Amino acid sequence: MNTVKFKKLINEIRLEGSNVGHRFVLFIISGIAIILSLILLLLNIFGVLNIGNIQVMDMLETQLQTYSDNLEHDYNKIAAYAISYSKQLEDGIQDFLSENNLSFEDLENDNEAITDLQNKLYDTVYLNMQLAPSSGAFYILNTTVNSNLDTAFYNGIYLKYINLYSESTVNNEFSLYRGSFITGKNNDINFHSGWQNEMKTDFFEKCDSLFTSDTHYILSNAVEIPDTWERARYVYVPIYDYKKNIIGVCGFEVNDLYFQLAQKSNNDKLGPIICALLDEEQGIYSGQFNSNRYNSLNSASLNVIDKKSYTVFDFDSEKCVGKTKEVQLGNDTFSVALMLTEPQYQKFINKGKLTTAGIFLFVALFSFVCCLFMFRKYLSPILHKMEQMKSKEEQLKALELAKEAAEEEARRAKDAYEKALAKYSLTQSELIHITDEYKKEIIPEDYEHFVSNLDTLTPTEERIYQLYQEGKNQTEIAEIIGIKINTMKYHTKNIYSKLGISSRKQLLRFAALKQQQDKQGK
Amino acid sequence: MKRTILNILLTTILLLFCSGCAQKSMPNAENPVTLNMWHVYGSQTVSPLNNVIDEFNNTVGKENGITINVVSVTSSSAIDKALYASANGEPGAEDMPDLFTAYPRVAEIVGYDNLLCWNQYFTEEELAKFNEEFLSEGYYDEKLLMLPIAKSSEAFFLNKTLFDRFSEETGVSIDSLKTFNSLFETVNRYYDWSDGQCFMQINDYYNYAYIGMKAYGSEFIEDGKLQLNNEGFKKIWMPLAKTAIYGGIFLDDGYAASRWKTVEIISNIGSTADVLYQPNQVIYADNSTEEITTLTMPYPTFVENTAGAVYRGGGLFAVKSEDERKNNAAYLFAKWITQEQHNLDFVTNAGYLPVTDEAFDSLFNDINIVENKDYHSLYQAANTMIQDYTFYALPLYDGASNTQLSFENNVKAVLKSAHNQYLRRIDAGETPSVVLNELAESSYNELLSLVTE
Repeated sequence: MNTVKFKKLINEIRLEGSNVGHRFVLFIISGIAIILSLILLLLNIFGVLNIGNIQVMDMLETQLQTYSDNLEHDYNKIAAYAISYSKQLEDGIQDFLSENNLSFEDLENDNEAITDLQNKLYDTVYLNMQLAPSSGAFYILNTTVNSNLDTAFYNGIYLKYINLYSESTVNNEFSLYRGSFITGKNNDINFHSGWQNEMKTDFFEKCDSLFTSDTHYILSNAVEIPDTWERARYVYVPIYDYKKNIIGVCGFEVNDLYFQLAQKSNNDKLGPIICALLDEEQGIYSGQFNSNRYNSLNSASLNVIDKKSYTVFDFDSEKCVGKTKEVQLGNDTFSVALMLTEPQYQKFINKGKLTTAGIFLFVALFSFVCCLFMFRKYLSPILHKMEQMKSKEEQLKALELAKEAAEEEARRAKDAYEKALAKYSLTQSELIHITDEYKKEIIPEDYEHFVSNLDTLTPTEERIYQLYQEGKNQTEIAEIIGIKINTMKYHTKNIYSKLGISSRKQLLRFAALKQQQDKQGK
Repeated sequence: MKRTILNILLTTILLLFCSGCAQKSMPNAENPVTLNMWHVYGSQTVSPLNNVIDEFNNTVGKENGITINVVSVTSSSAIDKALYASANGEPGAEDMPDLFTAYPRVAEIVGYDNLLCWNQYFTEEELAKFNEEFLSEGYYDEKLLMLPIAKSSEAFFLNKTLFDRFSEETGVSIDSLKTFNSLFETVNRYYDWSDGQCFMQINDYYNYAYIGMKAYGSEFIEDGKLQLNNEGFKKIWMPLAKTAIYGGIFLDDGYAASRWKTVEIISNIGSTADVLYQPNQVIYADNSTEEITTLTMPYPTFVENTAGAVYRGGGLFAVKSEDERKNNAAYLFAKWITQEQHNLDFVTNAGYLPVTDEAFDSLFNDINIVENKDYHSLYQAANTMIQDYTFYALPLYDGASNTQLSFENNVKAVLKSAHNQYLRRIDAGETPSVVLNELAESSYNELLSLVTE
């Protein structure tokens, strides 16, 4: 029955032009949207939902791909120059040895020959340094001008650019960092502040294991350059004699400054990005950064911690956040890293949180307003009518209950009436029977006297007579009338005397007879 | 009530707006700025300014999101060249740095209006702490474009280890190095003693002439022109020329420190900052080495009681940026590096003099604050000069840089040529003293003609 009423109500509202079902669904959706928005808002506040991080990491990821491709390209290019440079040196050394009828071993402790060889090879070193995108060029041979010194030295030339300020090294000043004093003088070049005649290296102790058949070149870890404040990586290849024995090594230097000048990276949205080429040895990271600030921080210690979607670079005194990608350079695997400073990263995270919170808050508020609007305009009337319906039903129920109660009452009254009626009939027949009995016992004269003297009774006596007739005793009658029992007795005696009777029993008999006769007379 | 709420709201919005503006003009950790810098305070072996910059980057810089990124530690002439290339957009030139150290002459190259006016950022109270004379060099009209961060003077550096060996054998006293006249005599004696080795290199003949002529009461530069054609110049030229022609003065280009290392020279006159470059060992041709001790002495004098020396060193320039955060970052850095302790940390490790009066007093009241003991003799010499010398700032005039460079090259070329002639003529059997006098005279005339041209 209620369903029918509800449908009727819906139909009524439809008739008013509203698709309540549709609105109701919208209301539910809005409600769900509020709840979802609030949940997302909380997740966002507590950092579970990190949209800023996703955006930043996406941008870094894209840039990292390009950046690592460029690095790979750059180092392969330097390596290609190094291989060509090595061939030129091999030819130069071979020519020199042939021209002077010397073997490579004859060079040791022969200052003059070694210096002449340097003078011959100087142009090759200089030209290759000019060609390769690097900050310096060198060659080292497994020989020395003085093998009697306590420390082992190796002979060669090492030229370095000085006063670098641009990736383009054309016409840049350079200096002799390692090499013979005579070579420097003959070629009129400046000596580096840290200049020395020969080099110390541990290369020749491990060159056989370093260069295997499939090794094209080696990119060293970033190391301090002795007698300078610089650090550098070296791209190097072996120099062979005609018997294919390694007699030396040559290559190019990429110092921190050159790396910085060559590897710039900025992003319009992210701002300055720190780029690095990292190498790892027994869990300790080091490398080159495109910022001298991080190059100097890195010299302390760098801890790289991989998180789910990003990497933390812990420099002890501060942290950076970014992404890494592995690249194969030469014989080893290196990590290319792009990173932002922690406050810089935090700014994007906070901004992301704020934006997301704003959106969720807006959605929640909008949904709330929609809900409120739909509640007031559509749902509230429905609820109101339903309320009314509910109230009417209750009234009906109450009425039905009242009706049932009344019917029950009527049924009970009827029963009582019928019972009373039956009792009355019974009493009536009993009375007739008694009267008939009394008639047989009563002396007619006494009864005649009684009837004729009833009029003689005083009002009080008549009242008492009536009360006797109703079945009351003397005490009860005295209380009803409000007289003393003696007075009552006095009145009773008078009534008896006037009516010619001697007892209450006789009085009641005559009174009942009189009453019956009066009824019959009527 | 409603009006009060409205007022509070408006005030809050206004304050937020203003704080937003302030945030945009000041660098902060969330919006970091990087200032690329080119400077001259360091050698290839050590850069004390870089160390101080690292400290800045890790403290104040880190707090304020400022990174001073040293792109180049180079020479002032290389900076001039690079700035010129950048200013003219030459192919391959780098972008103009945000900060650079240079001599006042570069202001014209970069353009006065492109440079940050320091006195718009420093308060008068802050500027009052600077040495007045140093500060005055940086003013262009009313604009302070060059801020002094370190100044140097000139001194005499001696490889004492090798000199002592020479002294023991010849009896030449170290006191002979105090005046130019006795110094030149010592140079000649060393040349003879060492079988033709140079004793010294003079890094700046321009400064030699400027101070020498002041000592004799005349002016080397007048109205932006060099004054060589006078007795004053001749007085300082002839002893120098005779010594150089004889062979004891090194006349090739290049850094004196390199010549020290290869024992081509055992002394030089140069900037106090040369102490950075002084090697602590010499290397012989057979690759053997010898540890040496360096002694720094005051700039030699020309005439008794008229001791003088030049102040050297440029200052810090900042290229004006449209990003006000960069301008403020430059100011914060400049302020930090000129604060007493930071300035002392920097200059005393680089052989320079501090630029504020307080730092100056602190240094010369107790030279032991200089951490590097090898530098103590430098600061003792500087202290002596501060007590007894008159200091001169080289005059700035149009083309001063080129004039100076040209003068240096001409002096060396003339003297080198004369020395080679001397050797040839002596070999040919001519009388050395006669040839020396003739060549000294002819070198003077040749220089005169070259400079006049």
